[in-house]
Amino acid sequence: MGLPWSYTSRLARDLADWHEKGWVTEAGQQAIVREVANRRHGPGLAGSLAVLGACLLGFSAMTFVASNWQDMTKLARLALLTAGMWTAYGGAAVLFSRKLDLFGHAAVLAGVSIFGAGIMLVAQMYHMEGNPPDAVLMWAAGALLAGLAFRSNPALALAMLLVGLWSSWEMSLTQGVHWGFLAGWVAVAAAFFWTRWRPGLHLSALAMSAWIVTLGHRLPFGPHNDLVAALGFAVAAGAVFGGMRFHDRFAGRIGRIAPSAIVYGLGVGFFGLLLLQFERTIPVGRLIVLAVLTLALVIAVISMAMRTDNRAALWVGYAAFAAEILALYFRTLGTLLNTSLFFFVAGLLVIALSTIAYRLHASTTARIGGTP
Amino acid sequence: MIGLNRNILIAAAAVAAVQTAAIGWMVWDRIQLIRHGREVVLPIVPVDPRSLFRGDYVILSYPISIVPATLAPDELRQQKPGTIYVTLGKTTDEWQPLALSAMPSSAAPDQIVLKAKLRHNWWPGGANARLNLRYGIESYFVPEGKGLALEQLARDKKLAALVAVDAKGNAAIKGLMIDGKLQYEEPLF
Repeated sequence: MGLPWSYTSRLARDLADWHEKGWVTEAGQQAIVREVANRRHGPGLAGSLAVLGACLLGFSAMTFVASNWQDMTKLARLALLTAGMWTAYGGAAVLFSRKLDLFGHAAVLAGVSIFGAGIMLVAQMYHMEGNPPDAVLMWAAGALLAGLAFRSNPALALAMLLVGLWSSWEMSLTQGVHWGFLAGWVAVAAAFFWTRWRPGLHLSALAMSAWIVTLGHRLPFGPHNDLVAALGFAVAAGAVFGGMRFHDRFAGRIGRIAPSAIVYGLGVGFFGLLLLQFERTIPVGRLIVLAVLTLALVIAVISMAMRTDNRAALWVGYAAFAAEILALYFRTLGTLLNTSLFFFVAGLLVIALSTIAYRLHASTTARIGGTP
Repeated sequence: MIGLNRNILIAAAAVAAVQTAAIGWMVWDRIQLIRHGREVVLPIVPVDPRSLFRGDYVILSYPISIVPATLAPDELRQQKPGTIYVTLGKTTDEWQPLALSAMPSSAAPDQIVLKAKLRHNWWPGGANARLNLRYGIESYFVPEGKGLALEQLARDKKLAALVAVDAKGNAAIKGLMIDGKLQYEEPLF
């Protein structure tokens, strides 16, 4: 049995309860506990430590470059890094051949980090200022190449992070929208689709969400946070529609992607709504309309999330609710007294809704024959 | 070695080779520029030591980093600010910006063309407006902890950069000059 808050121990408690009620047989209870205990959990300690070690080696290479150590000639330093890179990739090939995949991924990650350190070293050797994000883009391309060649998800994850760094650096220099991000994002996200790695798709969705949120302030003649909110809710609505309409035909794919797409869309949408309410010159009337709209959407999302058993969407709903009331508390609807009145009316309305929901729930469960 | 997967080995060699070639190309490109580029000496105005991932470096600033906006012709101003070319000429003892253009113009023998980028993405208006330019030669990397010494030098003595410029207007720092003498010469490797 695991730690008291782990899934295994919670399941063991529930099973004991269900066994007592006569729903699960003694043999069934034991079989379930054995099955869960034998299931492999993630990459395991050895693999995690190997990847962490590779990260440390990468940082060692980068700080070695940064120290600009003069006792070694530039060419020797460059040769040392190149040799390290070849060793890392060669080691990865050996490890993958011996089916030690986790160590192989760590070696690829080390190779990609040393490649980045090499780029930095050349920039340092020739005092290249140029356009610093270009160097990050080159690094990202190297990470993508290594990720594809070795089918290594950690390297692809690094590539996505580097695309994000490249894009935010470009944006901080130009103060405009960075459309190049889309090209980099599509390349890495497509690689994640190819390797069918779900955490990578989540990372891609997060990066895209962050980029869409920046559009609000980066598009010319802004701010355009209304556009951010509209885009987010459009994605969520599209995912809800797509999930219902095409579920039969693509159950395997859409069924797995749609619920997550709904969550990211909602996250972006609520973020946009919140940013809209924090714009500097917003009239009180418009703020009230936005607040009512946000709270209505929160309630809709929570009820939908409960019905479809989408826990992540439920949490987005709760988080948006908390953020919205905090926002109103800080912005105030004109005066604090007015804000208080708004919260009072909204509170009464939501409690009325909860009573209706309770009655509905009670009547349906009564029909099925259970207790509410 | 037993049990080595050929395909994986080829993939590893390909990745390592491509990445080595990428780094090698960066080096070769710089060496070409430094070896064959025309030399210009640009005076440096106060420097500022900084530290970042690539190590300690000093930020170099040049009198030609700031040019009057009136040098920009109207057809240039109608474009989105991006890469611009600055023609430098020696009117006095120092190189002065003479003209700005969207394309590298063929310079007279006593002139030189430098590629630059605007630091901002708008064109400032007004008669006294100034453009803030970047030539890609604003960083000078120094060994760990040596930045402050160089800053002191810049304050006490006349510091100048020896810069190589190629036909396309790309610039690279070849070394630093103190009181007209080359002090920090950069080995090619």
